[in-house]
Amino acid sequence: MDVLGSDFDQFVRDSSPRLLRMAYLLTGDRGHAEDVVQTALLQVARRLRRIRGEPAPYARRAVVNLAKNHWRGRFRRPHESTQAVEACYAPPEADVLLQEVLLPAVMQLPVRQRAVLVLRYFQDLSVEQTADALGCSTGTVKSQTHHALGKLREALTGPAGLKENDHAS
Amino acid sequence: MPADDELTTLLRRGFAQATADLDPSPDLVHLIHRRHAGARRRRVAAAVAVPAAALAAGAGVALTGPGTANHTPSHQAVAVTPPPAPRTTPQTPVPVKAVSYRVDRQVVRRHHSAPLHCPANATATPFGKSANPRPGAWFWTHGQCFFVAVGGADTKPADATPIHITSYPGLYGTLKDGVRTIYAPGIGGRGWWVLTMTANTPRKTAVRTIVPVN
Repeated sequence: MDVLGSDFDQFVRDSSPRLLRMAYLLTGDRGHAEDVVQTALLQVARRLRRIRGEPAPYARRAVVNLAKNHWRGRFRRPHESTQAVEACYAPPEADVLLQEVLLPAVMQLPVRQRAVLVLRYFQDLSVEQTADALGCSTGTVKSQTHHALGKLREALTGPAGLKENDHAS
Repeated sequence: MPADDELTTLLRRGFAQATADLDPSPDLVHLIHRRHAGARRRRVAAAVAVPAAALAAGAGVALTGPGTANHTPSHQAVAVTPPPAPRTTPQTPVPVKAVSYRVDRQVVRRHHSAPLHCPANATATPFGKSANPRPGAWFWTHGQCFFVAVGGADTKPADATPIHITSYPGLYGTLKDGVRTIYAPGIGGRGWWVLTMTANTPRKTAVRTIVPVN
């Protein structure tokens, strides 16, 4: 315990819920999300002395990168079904639109676009912070956000989604 | 068409709902500490083991260097007091994890059937193409057909000798009656994987059926 210090313990306690939720939204699977968060926090622990400033951005970036790797790996593992991703969004009675249309549509997005949406609209990061977490330019963040929202809009107004005027209700 | 604001509001709601019941394990802090300590131990073990191995190898070269056997000392030996041993804090020995292997199921599955090129009379070899009773993998390489049977055993025979294949440490092998057998340690030191093949099977091809796991 004393190797990493009580500050690190406090950081883990404070940041892990949000990191786990972010990882879950990026991977679509709770088990993988927990793995990703553990590995990211281990990376933070290993580089704790070398990280300048707050470790939170570093941890966030590690989660995004690990989740991206996980997502790429899915296509190299033939036995992993995408049903797990869909099943994790089992809809409750309310908000069927969110659970059955919007979130599955988010999971269908390319990983980078999904990461942009999660960082900007779940983590509430600015364009600059999102660009820093993803290691890309602010212009890329803006264009990826634009494309991602466009695809979600298509999904919502498609046959399974909202009809015109329904979304406001 | 929902406007961007409406869409992002929906997104925020969706994200919040989908993750509402997600909380990390209460012992996450302890888990991180445990994994961090384990990783440190492994790094320390590697840092100690590699220079020690290099030193040992260096000493071996010095002792068995060229001309050692016929070397006649040209001067009197002088008693030299050894330098004082460097002061070190007592260290507990660090256990180094042994190499173990698992069967690469993908390779075995992909090579389950004999390639079309394999001659029908392959039954003449220890492992027949037509009626092969053992699980394993077929390979077509260097214009020849090879079958590597994959099995297991509790122990390896006493006469098995270490074999050296790049990236596959800790293997043993025997060669008897035209049958080559390779023994690879199982996970956690529990038993051995046994790869059986004809003597002319390239060993590098045979070990494609196993993967080192640590």
